Amino acid sequence: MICDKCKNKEATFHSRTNINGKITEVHLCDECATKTGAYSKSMMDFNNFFNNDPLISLGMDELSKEVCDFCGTSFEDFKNSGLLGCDHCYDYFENKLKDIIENVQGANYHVGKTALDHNQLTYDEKIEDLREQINRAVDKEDYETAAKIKKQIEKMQGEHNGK
Amino acid sequence: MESNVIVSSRIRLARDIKGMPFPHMMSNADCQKLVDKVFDALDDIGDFDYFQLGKMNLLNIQMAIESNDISKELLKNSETGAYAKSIDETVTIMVCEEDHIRLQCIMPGLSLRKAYDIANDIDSELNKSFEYAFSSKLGYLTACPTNIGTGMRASVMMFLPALTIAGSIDDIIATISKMGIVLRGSRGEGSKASEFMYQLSNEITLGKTEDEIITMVENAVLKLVDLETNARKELLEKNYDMLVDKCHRAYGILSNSYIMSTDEAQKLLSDIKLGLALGLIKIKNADSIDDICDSIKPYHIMGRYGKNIDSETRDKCRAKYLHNIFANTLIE
Repeated sequence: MICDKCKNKEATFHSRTNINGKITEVHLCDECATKTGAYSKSMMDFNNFFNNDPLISLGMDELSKEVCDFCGTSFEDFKNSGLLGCDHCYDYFENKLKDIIENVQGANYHVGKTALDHNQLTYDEKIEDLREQINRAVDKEDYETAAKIKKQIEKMQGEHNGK
Repeated sequence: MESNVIVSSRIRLARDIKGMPFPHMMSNADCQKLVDKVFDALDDIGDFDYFQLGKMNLLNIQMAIESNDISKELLKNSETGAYAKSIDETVTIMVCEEDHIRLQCIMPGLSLRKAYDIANDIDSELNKSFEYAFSSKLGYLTACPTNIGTGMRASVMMFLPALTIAGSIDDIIATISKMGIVLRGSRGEGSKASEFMYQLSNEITLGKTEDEIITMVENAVLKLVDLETNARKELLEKNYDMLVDKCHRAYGILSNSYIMSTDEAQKLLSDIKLGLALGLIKIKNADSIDDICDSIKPYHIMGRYGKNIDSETRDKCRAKYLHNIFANTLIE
C-alpha cells in the first residue's frame, strides 16, 4: 500500500479509528509518519477534524491567527503542527478546542488520576520541600541555586509570620 | 499459548509542567534547566542511568531508538533532549520530547497493571517536585490534545502470525476499533518485514479512568489471544508440512548466508518465531529470539562494528553475525 501523504513510498504505518461510528483510515510511510508525529498522536488525523472546524470552513481564517497571550502560539500553528504551545492555550482556545477534543477523544471530562495541587500543600510541606531542594543543590555544589531557594524560604517565612 | 502471543506490556504517561511552554516552544537553555531538575528529582526516587542526547554519539542514540528505549520524537530536540533509564531497564523517562516528561514502564507478558503501578509511583513522586499542568475538567494537559486526560497509553506488543497469514488482521482492526482500541504494525525500520508483530493500545485518554483503560486493553488482548490460538490450530491442521518447511528453510538461510539485509533477516526471524510458537522447530537459543531481532538492526550492527559502515558491508556483517548465532543450534 502506498503512503497517503507522499504518494510514493510503501506505507508501513496503518491506522483505522472509529470515534462515535466515524471511521478514518490513515496509511503512511515511515518517514511521513515520523514527520507528522503520527506515531505519537495515536492515529489521529488532524486534517480530518480541522476540516470540520466551523471557523475554517467558513473561511474565517483571520480568527485562526489569534495568538495565546502566554506563549504566542496561534490556532493556525496548532492546525499545522497538531501541538499547542503551553497549558494556557487550553484556556485561550477553549471554545475552538471543545469540539475538536470531543471529536478526537469521544469525551470532554476527565475522570482519572488527579495531579497533586501544590497550592494546597501546607506551609510546612512547602518549606520542607524547598529545604530538600537546597540540600540537593548543595550536594551538587550549586550554591547559587541554593542561595535563591534560601531567599525564597525567608520570603515565605516573612509572609507567614506577618499574617 | 498466551506466553507466545503476548510479548510485552507498556504503560506510558505524558506529563507537562504548569506554566512552562511545551518543549517545542522552549529554548535549549530552558530545556537543559528542566532536564537537570528532572534528573535531580529522579535521584531521590530510584536508581537511574542518565543520558543526554547532545553528549551521546549518533550510533548510541539510534541504537536506543531501535531498542524502543526512546522515541524518534526525542531526536527533534537533539541537543538537550535527555532520558533516564532505571537500572533494571524497565522504566525510561524522556525529558523534552513532545511533552516535558514521558514516563514509560515496559514489562514482559501481559502485565499492564504491574507496569502502571510502577509508573504511577514514580509519577506521584515526581509530582511532588513539579507542579503539573492539570485541569479538573481536562485532566493532565499535554502538548497534543490526543493525550490529555489520563495522559496514559497502555500498549501490548503481540505476535500474531496465524491471524496475519489467514488475512484476518484488517477485519480485527475494524472490530476492535469500535471498542476504542487501536491495533497497528510494530513500528520502525523493517516493520513491513516483521509483519507478525503488532501493538495494541487504547485510542482515547480522556473520559475513562486509568483502571478502565487498562481493563479495556486487557479484554481486547485476551480476545486476540483466543483468536490467534484458534487460527494457529487451523493453520497447523491445513498447512503442517508447509510450515515445518518454512521455519527450517528460514533456519537454513539464517545460518548459511554471506549477505543479509535487515528486511530479509526480520522476515526469516519471524518465520523462526512462528516455528517456535507452533512447536515446529527447536533451537538452542529460542529464548533470546526477540533480542536477536533487535540486534540485527542497522545501528546495532554498526554499534558492534564500532563505526558507521555502508549498507553492503552491514549486510555482510549481519550475515556473519547470524551465522555465528544460529550455526549448529538446531535441535533435531
